[in-house]
Amino acid sequence: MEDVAKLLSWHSPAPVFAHLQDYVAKGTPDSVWIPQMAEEKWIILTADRGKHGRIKLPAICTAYQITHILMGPSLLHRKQLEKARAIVAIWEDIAKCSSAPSGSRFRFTISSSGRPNIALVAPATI
Amino acid sequence: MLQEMVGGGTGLYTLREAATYARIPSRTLSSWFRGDKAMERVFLGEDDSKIIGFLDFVQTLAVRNLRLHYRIALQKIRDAVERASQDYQLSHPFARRHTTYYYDQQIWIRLEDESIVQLSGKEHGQKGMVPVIEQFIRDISFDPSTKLAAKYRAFHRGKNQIMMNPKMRFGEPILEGCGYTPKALFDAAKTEGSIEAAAKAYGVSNEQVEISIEYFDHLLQAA
Repeated sequence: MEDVAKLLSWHSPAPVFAHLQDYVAKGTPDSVWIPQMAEEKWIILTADRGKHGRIKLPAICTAYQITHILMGPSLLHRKQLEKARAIVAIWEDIAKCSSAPSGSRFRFTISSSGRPNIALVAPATI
Repeated sequence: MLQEMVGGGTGLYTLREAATYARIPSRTLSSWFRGDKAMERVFLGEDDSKIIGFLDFVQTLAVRNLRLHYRIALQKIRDAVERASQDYQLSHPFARRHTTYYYDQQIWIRLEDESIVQLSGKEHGQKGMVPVIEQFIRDISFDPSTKLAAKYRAFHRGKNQIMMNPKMRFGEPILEGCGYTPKALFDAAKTEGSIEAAAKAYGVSNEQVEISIEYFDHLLQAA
């Protein structure tokens, strides 16, 4: 992710990236970082798309009104390099998600020809 | 409800997820919390809840143990949970540091403070009881103030540990030290095509990817 951040630092304004696991590894409890993300208007890009009963993060993003982008299976099953390339390729669209109403949910997919796409979807709750 | 659970650091599991982590069939766990046509639910709580907290999850480990190794009837366990709550104002009796005894068809529990509580049946004061072996308890850390379970070591190999802490990432299993979930590293190994490539892509050691794969194998053995 550091490499993607370096590449996108040429974008103006330069985006700020943070890994969720950095918060976890540093021992920051959920009760601190989640409200903080909501307050600071972060966008969460996650591979947690609600399959196999794991719908926590998307549902929590909705509850806390955090805009979030869920990677679809077409993207999830690609190598890290291809995911990074897709993020860079569609960066302008990712940046536009920040102007959507707080708590919006987007789905990030990639076509078989390798073309990435982001679309607004209805949020689900648990 | 979600905000309360996140704010309170109680952990947050869908029933299906908890079933996977506890290595119990999903339908079985669901019947323990929600009941079904054949039986009443074992645990008290909100009728239609699809999510449970960490203490409930720890209790499922205890019930799994009682069912799997001792074949104790769910009715006995249900009575025990209910009696703990009603007669002793004891919530989550199996998520406390305790020793369980099964004697004369009844469940008894000895808490950390050495008091002994009969949780099912009518008789009191029995002696000479043999304790139930509860291996999972050695992997649980308890909060000294509440005396309730605070963390669970779900899996370990050498110095690498997979921990479940209700205050961190909603109680999801986390590989200690790097903050990644075993699921993320397991999936990375599949998509990148090798342990080494996954380790490089995520900036972790080969051993950390390996333990993640082993952990998922361990969970899937019960599926």
